[in-house]
Amino acid sequence: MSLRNVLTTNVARVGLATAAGLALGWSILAVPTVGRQATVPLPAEKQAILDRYADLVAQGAAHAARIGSTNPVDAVPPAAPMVPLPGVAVGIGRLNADADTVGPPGIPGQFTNSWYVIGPPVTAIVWAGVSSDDPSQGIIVVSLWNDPQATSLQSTQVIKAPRQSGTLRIESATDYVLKLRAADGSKLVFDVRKSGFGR
Amino acid sequence: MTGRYRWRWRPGVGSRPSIGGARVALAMAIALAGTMVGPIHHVTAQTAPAFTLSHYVQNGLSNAAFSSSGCTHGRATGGYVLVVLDFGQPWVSGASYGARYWYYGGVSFLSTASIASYVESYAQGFYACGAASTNLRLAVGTNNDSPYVSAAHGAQWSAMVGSINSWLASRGYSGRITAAGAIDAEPGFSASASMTRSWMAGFGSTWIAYNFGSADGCSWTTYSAPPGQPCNRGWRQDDLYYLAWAAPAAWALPEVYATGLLTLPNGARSNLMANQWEMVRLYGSRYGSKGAVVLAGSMAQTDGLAPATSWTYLYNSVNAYSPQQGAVAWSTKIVWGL
Repeated sequence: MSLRNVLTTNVARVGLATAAGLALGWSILAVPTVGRQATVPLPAEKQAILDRYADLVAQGAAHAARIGSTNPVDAVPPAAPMVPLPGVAVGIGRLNADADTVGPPGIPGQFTNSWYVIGPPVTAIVWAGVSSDDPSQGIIVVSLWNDPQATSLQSTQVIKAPRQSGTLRIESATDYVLKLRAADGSKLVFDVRKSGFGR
Repeated sequence: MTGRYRWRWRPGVGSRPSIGGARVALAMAIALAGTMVGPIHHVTAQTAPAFTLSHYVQNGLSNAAFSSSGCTHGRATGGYVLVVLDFGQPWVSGASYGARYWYYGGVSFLSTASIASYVESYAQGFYACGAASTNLRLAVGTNNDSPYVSAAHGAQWSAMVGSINSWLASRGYSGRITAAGAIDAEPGFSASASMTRSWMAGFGSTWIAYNFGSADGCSWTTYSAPPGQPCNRGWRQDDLYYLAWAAPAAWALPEVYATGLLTLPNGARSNLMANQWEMVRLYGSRYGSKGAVVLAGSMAQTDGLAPATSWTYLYNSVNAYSPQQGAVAWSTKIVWGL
């Protein structure tokens, strides 16, 4: 395609204008100014990077003009709403390894490990650990979301262990019932559906 | 997700800049905008630009989810905008470089190839749904909170950005969308200043790497001869300067959220985070080999200042001291999830 043809497309014009804009922009910046540093040249290596981007934009605009509406990707409709990662079992709880556990944001405490289940109907994460204020007080944190990606927080609860038995750790889970062990060796059961300790 | 993030220019609003300031503002806006076209008198932004949403990537991911998010942004955004997709900690799994992101109370590893695939899906959605006049700088982020912050990881991250840009070019998207790297580099994170410098050095000089970190513990009132005033964990202002400007790839996109309020010497309002970066900028002007840092935009967070306030504080800080910067091009707010 000739240069003239390329210039007949708006897309190409935008790209070329961009390249010109970049060059113009930084050349203006390099002009001496009043009340400022005498000159503000952009470091050469940064200018080179900007030039690379300008080339990319110009080439992209020209390429888009060449392929025009025949680009099959442009015909793809907007994607479906968010879905969980393929292969993630919805409704089946998983334990996170101790080393991989990241505590709940904004909740003071040290957390040993965590368990999660991806909805629908809800997505839940349960953390086990100990209060920052009292190292003898084990705590469970339960956060619930309305969506599989856990972007729409429904609630967060901090639940104290019934006895001051130290740090809690989730040992296993069956359905929504978690078996925990405390630092003093005692065993506890936590029912996620009831958000409470049981027997 | 808010729909209020359309880019707006407000020509003629606000105080009249000086001749030098106007020239710098014009240059900054054109150069930082890159692909902006139109009358040049539009480029002096005296009020906060509308913000984009950036994202801490988390939980269940899919190409469809990224494409959908890109589409949403494309529809809602106009002009020339910046979005950061933060994939979490630099990580290495076996021989594979990538990042670990927050995954349902734990962490999960993504290779650079997987990250590139998700970013490309975001770009595809943005391109398909956005107006032809909309342009996007899509920054692929990581952080310095990891034992794998190294020159090798920086080089791999840069190579990933290069592969995304090649993909964008092959699809004809790069006229409107270009990719960059990004790092949330903070003194308070686990990697040392020297490790983080190595990452940035390893990133090289092919693409831009936006530093969207904070300047934890640095002075908000002064700067001093190299290596500058101390910051948290043994960092100095010179480390921030390198990571924000002196390194070839580095551009600064400071996090500015809720911290102590300040009244600047000219009476304008700002806060500690903004002025910590301003002191790094001035450090560069006085002592840096590459001159004053250009603070390209502000990044607000969900639980902090409103994006417009975040941007205004940064804008006020960079124009309260000599040499003034002039325009601050971008405003973004980072949120959890797509």
